Amino acid sequence: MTTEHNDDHMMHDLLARAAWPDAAPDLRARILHAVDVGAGETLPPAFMVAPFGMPHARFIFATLVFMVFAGGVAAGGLTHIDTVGTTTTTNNLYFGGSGSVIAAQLLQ
Amino acid sequence: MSEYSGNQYARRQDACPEEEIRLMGLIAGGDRDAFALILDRYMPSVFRFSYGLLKDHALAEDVTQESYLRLWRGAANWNPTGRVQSWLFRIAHNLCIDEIRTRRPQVDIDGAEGLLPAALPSQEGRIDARQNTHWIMTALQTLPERQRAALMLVYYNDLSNIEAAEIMEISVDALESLLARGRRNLKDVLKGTQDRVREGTGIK
Repeated sequence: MTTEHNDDHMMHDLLARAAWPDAAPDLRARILHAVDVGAGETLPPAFMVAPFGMPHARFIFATLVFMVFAGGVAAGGLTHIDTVGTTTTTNNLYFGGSGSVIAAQLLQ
Repeated sequence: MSEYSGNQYARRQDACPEEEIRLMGLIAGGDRDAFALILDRYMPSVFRFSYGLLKDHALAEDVTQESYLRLWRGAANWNPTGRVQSWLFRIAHNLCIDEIRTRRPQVDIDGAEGLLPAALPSQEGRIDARQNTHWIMTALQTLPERQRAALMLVYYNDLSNIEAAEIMEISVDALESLLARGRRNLKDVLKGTQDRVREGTGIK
């Protein structure tokens, strides 16, 4: 018998000899109950839950896009108010410029 | 557990019994009684496997429950190339690994001495079964989780190397390497404990 085979037997005996604990007596009932009440439809982990049914990463991306656009609209609008009568086209030079153009058009 | 059969030397895929294929078909159709049969058959081993990896009774129960719920939900997608038991073990293994990596710090083997008892003689220097269990459980926890899982699957649950490798989603060679390192590490940790007990009790 090889050393490896001896080791295999020893490991098996070692683990089999331990008094492994049993699950709580009601675990079986709990699992069956969970199946009965439709726990098959359990919620995903909290980090996977995002509003509007979107996956988490997509929701963050959509939020960032919205914030950039909204920031552009707000900044463009304010700049337009400050510069109305002089120039509004310079608003296109900064990030969010497209929003400023829309805001400028809305305010005219 | 069944008598050791040395079946890790069997280099073949363990086929799923016809009866389990039929039961899984019934479960896919929502048959609660068929589900209860599979539950009764494998719940203790899934729980103990999870406990061996987590050493936490409540978490092991949670993992067992979630494994069975996933079986209930996914029975229709089950591919009968392997045993139902292997599928359950794979789910439980993945859940345990997630749990270990997100919530529990890894114990360094070199730091295992502090976890193990220095010396705890029972009467006449004998080591009782409960103490033996405590040592084995604690020593297991000092191993990296992959070594622990490999040892549990092959030596406690008596799965073949092929089945265990599939459950852990690694090659058979990688599994055998994990087993070799796991055996060596476990023996080293337990030998260290044994030496300390002998020193404490005067047993030669």
